[in-house]
Amino acid sequence: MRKFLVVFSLIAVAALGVAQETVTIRLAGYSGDTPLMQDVLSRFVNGVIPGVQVVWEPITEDYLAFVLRTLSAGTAPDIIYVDLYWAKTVVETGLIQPLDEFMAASPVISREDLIPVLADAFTFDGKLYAISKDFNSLVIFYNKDMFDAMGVPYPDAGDTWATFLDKIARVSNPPEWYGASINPDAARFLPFAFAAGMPFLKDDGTAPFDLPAAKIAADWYTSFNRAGIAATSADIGVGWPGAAFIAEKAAVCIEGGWLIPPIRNENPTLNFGATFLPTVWQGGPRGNYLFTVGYGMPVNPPSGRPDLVFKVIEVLTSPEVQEYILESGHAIPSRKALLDSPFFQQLDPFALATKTVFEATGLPGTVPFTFGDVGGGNYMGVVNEALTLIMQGEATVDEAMDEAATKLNEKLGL
Amino acid sequence: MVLVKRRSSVPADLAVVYYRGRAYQVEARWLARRRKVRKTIVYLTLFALAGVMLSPLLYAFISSFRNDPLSWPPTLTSPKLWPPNWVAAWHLGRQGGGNGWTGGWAPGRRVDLVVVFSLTPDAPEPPLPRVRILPPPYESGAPNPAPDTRAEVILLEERVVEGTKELMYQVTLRHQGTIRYPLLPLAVIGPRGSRFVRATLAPDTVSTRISGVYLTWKNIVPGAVRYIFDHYIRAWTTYKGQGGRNLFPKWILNSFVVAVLRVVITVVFTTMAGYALARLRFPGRTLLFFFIIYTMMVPGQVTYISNYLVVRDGVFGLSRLFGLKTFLNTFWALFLPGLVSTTATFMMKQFMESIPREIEEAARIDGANTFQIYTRVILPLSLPAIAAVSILTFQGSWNEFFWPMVVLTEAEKYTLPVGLNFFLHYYTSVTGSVWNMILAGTIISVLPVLLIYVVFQRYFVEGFHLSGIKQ
Repeated sequence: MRKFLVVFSLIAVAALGVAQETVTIRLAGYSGDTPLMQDVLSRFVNGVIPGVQVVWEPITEDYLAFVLRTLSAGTAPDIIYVDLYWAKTVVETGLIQPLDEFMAASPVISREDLIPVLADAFTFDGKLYAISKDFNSLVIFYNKDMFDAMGVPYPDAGDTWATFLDKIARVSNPPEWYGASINPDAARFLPFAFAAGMPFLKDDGTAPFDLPAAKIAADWYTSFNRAGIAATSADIGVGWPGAAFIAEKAAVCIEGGWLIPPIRNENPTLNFGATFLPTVWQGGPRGNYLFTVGYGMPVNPPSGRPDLVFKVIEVLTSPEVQEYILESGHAIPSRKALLDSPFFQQLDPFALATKTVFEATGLPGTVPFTFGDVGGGNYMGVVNEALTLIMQGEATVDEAMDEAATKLNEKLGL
Repeated sequence: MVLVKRRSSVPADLAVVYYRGRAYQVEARWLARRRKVRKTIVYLTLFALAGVMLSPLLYAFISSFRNDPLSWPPTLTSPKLWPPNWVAAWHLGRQGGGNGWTGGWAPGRRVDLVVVFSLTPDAPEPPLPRVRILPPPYESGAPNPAPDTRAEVILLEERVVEGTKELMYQVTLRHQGTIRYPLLPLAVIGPRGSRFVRATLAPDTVSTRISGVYLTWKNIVPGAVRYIFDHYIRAWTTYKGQGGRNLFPKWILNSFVVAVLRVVITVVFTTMAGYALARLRFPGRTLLFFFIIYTMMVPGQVTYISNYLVVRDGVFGLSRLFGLKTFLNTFWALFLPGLVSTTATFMMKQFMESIPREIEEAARIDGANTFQIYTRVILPLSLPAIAAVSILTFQGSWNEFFWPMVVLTEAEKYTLPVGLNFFLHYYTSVTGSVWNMILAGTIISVLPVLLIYVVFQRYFVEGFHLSGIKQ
């Protein structure tokens, strides 16, 4: 028994000793980021920052559910991803901390280094809760070969809704390929509706979908599919419009920078280009969504060393790491200075598309992809339903959009 | 069939059958044949049933070799299961890497590949097919062989077969660098308007695109083993942890260690508890037994949250003895809740009650104390029950998914089912669903349990029998 106790205490002491040498910091992110993040961590963090060992924890479940569960159980990792889409929900729990103080003390990073719209997006009540790790916005991807084959000029920044529709109609060549793959998806439709002048909510706080601007946008957005020059990804037999584009079954799709790695993986010789979303009329407004994910820190990080945790965040958002991530083609980093990166001077279609996405974010009319107190599920759910009904010809634009407004008002309790 | 009225003596070639209380004489041959037919029907039915039960596994197995497991309509064939392709893969592997089994792309090597396209006879002379060396998949971490590889295409032969013009091209690839590459992914883009006929090695994808017929090979120098088991090898090696170690074997090891430890712990505790409850007299015994039975009636979901909190706090601070703030993300979290299985205790108790008391009394007369009786008499006699409990515990631990998923957060510590779940999400977000690799991983994960089933199937049946005992 005594022998057992001696061995036992020896083990305990040894374990404590090891634990005090280096601080283990847990970083949990989307499981799809795994190869990139492991690469970045082993290159720039582990063994580089003294006394810190960052452990990567890939999350396969719904990330928001994971964050809320672990935050409330007090078992959240030291660094979490904060998606702008649900950032407000998490900030309101009061369980993640503002980073302003750390940032003020940091010689490496300040608010001025960040792209303003990204910094503003994560600011709640004047405090910054997350540092954007990368961002994305929507662009038009087009297949150059198909436009060449049909003798149609490529979509470009000067396109309006009318000229864009015309180009899609002319490039469409079913059953070989469709002009575009468009889904009844609010996350694609809403930027156009906002550009057409639809507010997020009416002044009295009710749903805006019955306004003429919303109906005009819905009519235009669904006209592609109703005219048979575009098809949903399901009709083409793939999982999402991007896959239809990669498989060369659609000449155009509306996606963000996340389409670039799959193209590189699955169809690296695809002859494609990217341009901004069309304007409502010549020189008129243009909408877009800004998608971004940031690094945040819980109020009491389990490592007990918030200073070191912030240091890791600092390194992960540093110019060197961001440049590295940019060149890997996996995401578009959040520092202003990177627009001058030599990466963007390249002429290969991947770099050009990345640059277009980068520039699209800075255009006027780009709004953060977030739904405040209304809830993205509620807001987008009714729009998705309405768009589906219109595309399938089961309701007119007027009926479907009025119905969507009524449903959202019901959900808002109005 | 001849039914014969009963006679006083039955000749050798006749047999008697009874039907509705009356005896009939029938030809023995006919009777034997009827038995055979009946047997055959029974066996065929059983085979068919087994086939139906096994078909998902079988289909998963075949699909794990297919390049496009989601293609519609589903097929049961795959180029990877077609022997001529094995031979071609062996030859190409030997040309490229000097090894017919594992292939590779070695300096100074040359690979020749024949590709045949067809065109309508009146089509004008098409340009030569284009050849592109593709980058290896990002997650493989393999270097891109494109800078060191030179490709050349020549037209070997042109002939008219059954009204179409067949063009046979030879693609020659030369390694001009100094590094050995593990993979050589290749795309050959046939002329516009042409159709693909055949190639030395069947391409992994064939798609007709606007720019021409697009053929790709994930690896043109695979070698036979790499070709056939490509998805298995990738499932095994692709996902690396920190430090570059393969995680898949680590998960198998984790699952195995956890399962074996749990079996040992369960057997030790449940045999002792079962013996005490079955044979020892002590106050509160019945109450204790009812308490154990009662805990069996609480559904596991009810205790998840409290278990999670107890594990989080390191079982009331006990974890600090080991220098851990919490048991979360450690194997302790897998053992501690459910350290003693109530079902297994119950099974043990029921089994031990069936052991004749006289044996125990004889041991007592010979001077054995209670512990000796337990170790020398009861345990050896309980081997069938122990085997059954072990197998059921092993199987339960091997397949357990929800609890490990909640408590294990680091990929290095995953057990196999959690690892497979990670696999699914990882591939879905990186490259779209790679179902063939996920299926390959699943097949690998099924193998150990399958093996145990085959070896110990007798005890499995016994286990189910025991768990069904009612007093």
